[in-house]
This record gives sequence, structure tokens and C-alpha cells, in this order.
Amino acid sequence: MHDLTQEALANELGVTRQTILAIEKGKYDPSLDLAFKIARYFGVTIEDVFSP
Amino acid sequence: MSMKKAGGCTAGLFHTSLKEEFLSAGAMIRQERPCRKSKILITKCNKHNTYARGQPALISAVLRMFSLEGDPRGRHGDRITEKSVTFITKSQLSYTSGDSMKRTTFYILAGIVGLLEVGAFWLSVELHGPLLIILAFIAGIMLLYLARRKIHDLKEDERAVLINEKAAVRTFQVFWVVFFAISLGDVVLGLGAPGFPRQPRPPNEGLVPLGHIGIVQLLLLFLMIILYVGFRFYYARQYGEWETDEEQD
Repeated sequence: MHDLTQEALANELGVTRQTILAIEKGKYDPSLDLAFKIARYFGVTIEDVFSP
Repeated sequence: MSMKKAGGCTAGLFHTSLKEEFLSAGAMIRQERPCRKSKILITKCNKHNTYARGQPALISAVLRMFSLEGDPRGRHGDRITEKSVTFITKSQLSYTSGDSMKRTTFYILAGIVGLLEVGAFWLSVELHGPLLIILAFIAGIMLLYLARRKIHDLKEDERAVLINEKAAVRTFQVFWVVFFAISLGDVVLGLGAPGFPRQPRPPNEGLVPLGHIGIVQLLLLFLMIILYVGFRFYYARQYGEWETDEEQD
């Protein structure tokens, strides 16, 4: 969608690519801090990115 | 400060105060060293995104040098532009303080330290001097600890920290039960032995009992390491350490 790789997003957020992948796969729930960073990066709210 | 040109630059192009700031941040400006040797790790993710990682003070100096935005307080991912990287690369400047290390270098160092520890152990046995191996082991671990802090391509994020924490706590939970059980068994052996409490041991028996205790301690320590590695593996798998997807090569 944003022509963005997991590696680029990981670097932007200060985590490893494997963490991005684990979040995508639902294997890992990020901390609030990281969740806010992800939401801010895409310019959306946390609810738009994560669902319970 | 704006860039004047990308190629053929020298250190003299830098504004004096910025250059001083740059140097005071721990950098060395060299003309014939490749950029990959830099204290700042520059990562080109794609054609648009380039990031620098390194010491916050140094990143801050670079960001100021190129009048770029960034958060020098961040440990990772301070963004710099493609243009500035081109500038740095073509200029063949490197920002070295001589205190960064690659992971592979660290592993080689760890191997060497391990061999030295084996040698120290052998020497300690030969000389009947336990203090030698005790001091050598502590010195080796301290050396490795200091060296590990200087690895610039080691990235530990919150998921890795969580995995380590969970593995450590679970290891402790299992280990103390095993340790307690073995200790209880030992106490029972001691209490049930004929002639308890024992008479004082003759002084010429030396350190043999202590050596036996050391072996038991090492076995328990080995158990602890095995437990930790096992739990580390389990939680790493649980938190997607080896997950793959279509982006994986």
C-alpha cells in the first residue's frame, strides 16, 4: 500500500524486522509505546491498526 | 549548514564549529576510510529511506551538520537523507572512535576468551591455585560484557527483551525447585549418616570435599544453562522468531 518494506518500517520504529512480522502474524502484541509509534507512522489511530 | 557539493570534499568543507562539535562527539574524520567502518551505521532500506544508527551525540552532530531533522535521543533509526549519505560516501569520510565492533568479531573474541579460560583452568589445576581460574573467569566475563556493548549491529528490541525476561523467569522458577530438592536430599544424607554430627575432618584431607561440591555446582549451573536455552527457544518460537512470509528471501 505504501510501498513500504518490513525492514524499512522496522528501522523507522527502532525494532527488528522479525518483530514487525510477528505483529503482523499475531504472534506478538506490541507495547503501548510501539503501538503508538506504528499508529503515528501511518497517521491513523491505534484502533485502526490493532483490533482486540 | 547546507552542502556545497557532493563529491571531492575534504574535512575543510565543514563549518569550523560544526566540525569541532562533530569531533567532540567522538568522531574522527579520515579521507581514505570507507563509510562502512563508521561508528554511525548507515542503512539504506530502499531508494527513499536511509537511516543512521549510532551514538546519539554523533548522530546529533551529523544531523546538525546537514541541517536535517531527527531525534538524536533515539537509539535507532534516526533518519538522514539520501543526499547526505551520498555526500558522506563520496567524501570517504568515516566517523570512527575505534570502539565499535561487529557481531562476528565479538564471536571470534568470545571463542578466544573461551580458549584462554580453558588454558587458565588447566594452569590453575597444575598450580593448585584456584584463585587463578576465579580471577581469569571474572576478567573474561567482564571483557566479553564490555565488548558486547560495543557491537554496533546488534539490535535488541522490546520483543527480544520480553523473550529473554520470560525465559529467565521460567528458568528461575524451575531451577529453584530442582536446587531445593537436591539440597534437601543432601541434608537428609548428612542427617542420616552414621555418627552425625561428624567429627572434625583431619586437616590433611585437603580440598577434596570442596572439589566435589564444585562439580555438583557446575552440574547445577549446566542445568540452569540448559533450562534457559530451552525456554529461550520455546518463547522465541512462541513470539514468532522464525516466522516467514512472502518478504522473506
